[in-house]
Amino acid sequence: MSKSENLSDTAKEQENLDSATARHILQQTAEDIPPAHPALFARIEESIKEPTPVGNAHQPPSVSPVQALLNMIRNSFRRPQLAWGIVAVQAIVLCLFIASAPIKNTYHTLSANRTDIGAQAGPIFYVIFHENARLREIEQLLARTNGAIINGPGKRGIYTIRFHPTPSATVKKLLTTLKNSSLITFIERAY
Amino acid sequence: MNRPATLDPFLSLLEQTAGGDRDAFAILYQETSQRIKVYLHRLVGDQNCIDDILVETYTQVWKNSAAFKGKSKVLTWMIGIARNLALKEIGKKRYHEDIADHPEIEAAEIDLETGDRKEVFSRALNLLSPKHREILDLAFYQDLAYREIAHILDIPESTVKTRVFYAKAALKTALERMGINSDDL
Repeated sequence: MSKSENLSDTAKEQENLDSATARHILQQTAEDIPPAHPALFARIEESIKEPTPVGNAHQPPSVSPVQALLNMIRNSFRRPQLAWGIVAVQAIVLCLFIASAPIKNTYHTLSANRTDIGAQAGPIFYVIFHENARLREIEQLLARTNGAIINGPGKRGIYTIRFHPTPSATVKKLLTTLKNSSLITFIERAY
Repeated sequence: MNRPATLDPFLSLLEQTAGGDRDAFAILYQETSQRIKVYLHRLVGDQNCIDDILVETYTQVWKNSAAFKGKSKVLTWMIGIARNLALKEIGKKRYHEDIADHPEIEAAEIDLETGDRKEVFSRALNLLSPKHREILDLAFYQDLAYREIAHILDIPESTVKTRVFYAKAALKTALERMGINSDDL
């Protein structure tokens, strides 16, 4: 506070009623207030007929553990530093939890080089898999048919898959197998 | 306990009360009831209401004496109980009424030499808000330290100091409205 403000406060205080006068007025007026009627204490005695208070005056009444915990939480809110401390600890724990949590996607997108079977030559098909087809099932189908995803998925979910037919499985048979698969909703040979 | 018993004249009585000593409680009542009554008179005003609050205050003192933690003086603690009960009675609006809410009070020709000083002072005090009468009572009649007053009112000490200043100013204004210059007192 500046010196001028101090002076201003002092000046205001000097203009105000002085404390001695205030004390005099308060004490004079208190003298005119009659004491409580004796019957009043009888009323009080009537209202305290119940069992007397227990324990040492300095000991708070015993409470259950749950009540004690609730009291502790309530008291913590009355002490801002403690409450903010708890908030800070919670924030740190949350950050650590997020930082250490493994990154796990809820879904996978098949990618072009997921299955490498060395299928460098062979017929190519455009395929749309059923929306409920599982990754494992698709991978098993591709392994069974010697197929490999070489492109996709496109905007409409179309994959480009190259197959490497074996002598026992011609392209025609392969196409029949794939068309009959419940995992595939669309298949067409690409030329 | 935070302080030696010698500094708090009512501590021993309260401890005995906590132990169920009704005689000690009666003495505690005798020694404190007038001060609490004066405080309530300034805060509430209505005599019937004051009696009811006094009964309830001492009932609570009896019931909660064992829970007294010694964070304040016994009288401060008791005034705090009385205050909570009184505020329920008078309501927030009346508590904050100000001298400006009584424009109908005009200057009165009063002769301080005729012996009606107390009447004048009472009327001047009645012009103040309960809030201002309360702080003046706590500071200048109960003679409590600002720290104790802050504890009762649950406000910072700096606010107590400011409120005392404005309460004194309001009392001065009230006296002047009644045609009395406080310098003449």
